[in-house]
Amino acid sequence: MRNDTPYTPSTAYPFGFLDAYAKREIRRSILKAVALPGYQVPYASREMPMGRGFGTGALQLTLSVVGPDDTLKVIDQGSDDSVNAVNLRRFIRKTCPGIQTTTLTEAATVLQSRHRIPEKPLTEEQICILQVPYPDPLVYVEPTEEKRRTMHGEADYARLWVKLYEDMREFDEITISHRYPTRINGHYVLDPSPIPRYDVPKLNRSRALILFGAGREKKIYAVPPFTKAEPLTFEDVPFRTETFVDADGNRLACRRCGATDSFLDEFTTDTGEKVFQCSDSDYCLSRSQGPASAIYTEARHDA
Amino acid sequence: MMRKVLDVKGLSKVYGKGCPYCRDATGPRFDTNICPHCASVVAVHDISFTLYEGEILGVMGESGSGKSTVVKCLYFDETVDGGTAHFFDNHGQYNLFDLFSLNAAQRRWLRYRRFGMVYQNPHMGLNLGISAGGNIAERLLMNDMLIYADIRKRASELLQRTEVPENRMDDLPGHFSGGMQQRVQIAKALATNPPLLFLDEVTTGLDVSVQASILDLIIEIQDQLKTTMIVVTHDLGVIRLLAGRTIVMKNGCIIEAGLTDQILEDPQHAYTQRLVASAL
Amino acid sequence: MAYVAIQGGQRAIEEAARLSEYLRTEQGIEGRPVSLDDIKYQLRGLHSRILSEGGLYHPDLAALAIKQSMGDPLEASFALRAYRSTRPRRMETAAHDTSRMRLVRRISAAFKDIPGGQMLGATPDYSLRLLRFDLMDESPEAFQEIAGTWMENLNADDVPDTFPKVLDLLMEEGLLASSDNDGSEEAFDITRQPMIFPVPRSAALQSMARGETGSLLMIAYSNMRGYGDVHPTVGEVRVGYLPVELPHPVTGTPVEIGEVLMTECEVVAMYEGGDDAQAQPRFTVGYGACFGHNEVKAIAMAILDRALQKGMQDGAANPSEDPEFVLLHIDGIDSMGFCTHYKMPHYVTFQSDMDRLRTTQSKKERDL
Repeated sequence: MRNDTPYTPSTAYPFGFLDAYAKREIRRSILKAVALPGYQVPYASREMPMGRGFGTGALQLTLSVVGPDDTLKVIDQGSDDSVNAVNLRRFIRKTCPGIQTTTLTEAATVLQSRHRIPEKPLTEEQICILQVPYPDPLVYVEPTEEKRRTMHGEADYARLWVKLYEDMREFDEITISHRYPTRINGHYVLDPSPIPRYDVPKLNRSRALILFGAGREKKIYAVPPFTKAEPLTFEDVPFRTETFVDADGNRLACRRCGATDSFLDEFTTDTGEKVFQCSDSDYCLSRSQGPASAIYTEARHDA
Repeated sequence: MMRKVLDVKGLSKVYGKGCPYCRDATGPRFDTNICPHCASVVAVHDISFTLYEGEILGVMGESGSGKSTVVKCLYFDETVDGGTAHFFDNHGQYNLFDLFSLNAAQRRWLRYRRFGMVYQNPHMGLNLGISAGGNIAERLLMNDMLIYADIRKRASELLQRTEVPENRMDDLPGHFSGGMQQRVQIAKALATNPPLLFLDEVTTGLDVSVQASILDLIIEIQDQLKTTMIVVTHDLGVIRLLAGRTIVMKNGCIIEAGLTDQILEDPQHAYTQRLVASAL
Repeated sequence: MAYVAIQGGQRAIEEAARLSEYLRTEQGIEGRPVSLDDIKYQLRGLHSRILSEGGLYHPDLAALAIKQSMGDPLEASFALRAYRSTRPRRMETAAHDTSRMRLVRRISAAFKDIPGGQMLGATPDYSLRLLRFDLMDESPEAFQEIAGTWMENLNADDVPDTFPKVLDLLMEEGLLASSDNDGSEEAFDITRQPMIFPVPRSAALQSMARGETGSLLMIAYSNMRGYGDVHPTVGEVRVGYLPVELPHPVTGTPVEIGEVLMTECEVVAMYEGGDDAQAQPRFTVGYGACFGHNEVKAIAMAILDRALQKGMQDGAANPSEDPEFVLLHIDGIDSMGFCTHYKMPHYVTFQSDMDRLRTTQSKKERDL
């Protein structure tokens, strides 16, 4: 992933928008994050031309790792065509001349995503970069960052477990839905970003490098390839992902592609009917129209 | 032969920046623990004692004598300025280590697993925002007990053991009476069967009848579990009831130490004599 | 299908931009594009605020940011700040002595008179906040005439170029500890280093210098009202132009490259004892400074600086003394971005929330 193109005079912005010093610092922080799986590496997050909370952290990572020979996929809520995904892709295309974009998961070398990990399994050739609003799972139990750093250092997560205990006591269920605290390589517990529970198992021994960027909170962390990632739970309370079943207990299917093995978006039509369809638009399209059909979306974006 | 559990030598603690004269210019001889040269407070000066398995050692003194600071140092709530403390722990990782030379993670390990503390103020020992059972669960979770059903069972046993009604287990201790809060604290401290328990003025401020029942509980626990304890108190009655041996502190120093009966029957130091006389 | 709102995102974004552009030019043939100079000279308050919160002293680009954002201060500062992150850093200035400021205003609340004199300058402090209806339909001729003859009536020798600082008087008398910072200590750089608490005072001052005015004011006001006890006296507020020097690339000697308009405030706060029993108690100081003419911001910052120093020394007794609380919540770009982001689609996480609630509800139903 070459990243050495100097200024492009036509736009007066450097390749990848950020100045070279910033990108170097971010790449150093990424290396540190990979070396210490799950550890939140602080970095001097730069201001990006979109709002904090819109993915400025992940965007800085993306801009620091992509080169002109990369193929990029950007999704939000699983969809390539969500307004925020479109906006980020547009920005990256503008500031990284030469870069390819795609909606096809398997064609991408770098994937930036908000709230989802794609359904199609990722490979060693890919980097998945997730947007993170809150990097620290301990914020549930400790507001002071200084204290949280010590707790992480000592792998002192008892108070987080107590929160799970209190949930069980009150609801007989752990109520955390997304941002499920996950222990990496037996030490650090991280916030996997607001992915649903459904995607948490995808972190475990993932073939792709998974990077997390929190721009506003100025942290970078990573789940390196083939690394153990375990959602925190009790030994006798199995971690459960979202279930999509009807009143009779049958698995619901996507109304477009018929998939019964994907995360579904639920919504109500104008006629008051409740329907379900795949949240991962590429997965859905590949199933319903064959892999080639996905290319058409790219052509549309390039227009 | 009795087995040693703890050996404390020369424990000292100064609040403030301290100066070379601090230690020679404070203590019972001068009737102050404030250094006249630098205004530092010599809270504890050169305290040594040994603790044997299964005994209850009383630490007695008025407020400001440094008695609470001693246990706070041993429980790592406070750092020390001098001295050593060796913990003889057959089942622990830090057997024979000087406690004050351990790093933060090692200290936490001991606090979570091998020591228990019951504070005068329940706010210090309990998280009042989580249930009584949750407070006990915290200590069990610190010890990697990760089976929910087992945690519930153990918490319930401990609360029964300390006579907290079982139907209060899922209530917030912030709504409990003072006596019941102390029972929850004791249950929490006992959760890991620690060989060493520190009790800092645990009955102070409670009704006399509640005091008596808490003291009974402590005696029972000591009797059944053979837990070694240090009981810090200003109350002669507590010392008389609980402690086999006692040390008396004043202005940060030990002025008298020995068998409790002996100290109460035949106090040697004028200060102890006054204390005993006033209690009669 | 109603849901397809999220499809066609690309087009929606483009049309939204076009519509915004229409709003900017809605006056049509009646209108005239506002010039950058109009903004710089006639919207001074807003312009100053953008210079300071944008964290970049570039009067032209600040005016441009105001123009394109149609006067939204958070958006304008944001654009300026984002531009800043693309610029390489060529050089660094040494510490500057602000007593060299060419002043347009300076006052002290601590003394009736001060060496060099009180200098009220242009301030709305004592103006009556009555609407000036005469400006509703101001004629260009009347407008131009006021400034046209202004300078003729002024004698340039009336005011000295520089003034001594009020705090120096207190230092000489020993009522205030003399500064132990000679400017040689390397300052923390919040744009290059991540803030890991506890942070040095220079990091705190930098964060506040580009903080959002309203946020600084709110937290400082909480301290003034009683959630804190700084009890400040304004030692000095000064507004003026500070000559900026850079080391000459060859000789290394400082060369003046221009000047920045800035506001500086020093507050004197309650005294405290020294490090040991022998030391004399002395007044304490809070410092505030920012680009542009922003007195409320500089004063709020000075009060917070004092509160934070106290918090770092004795532990925070209230929010304004807590460095993490103050410094992580005053940045306008961070906070407005995060507030805005809640408008983005969150339907995956909400789906997950619904799943949890339904599971919990069905368990409850079984139990009942």
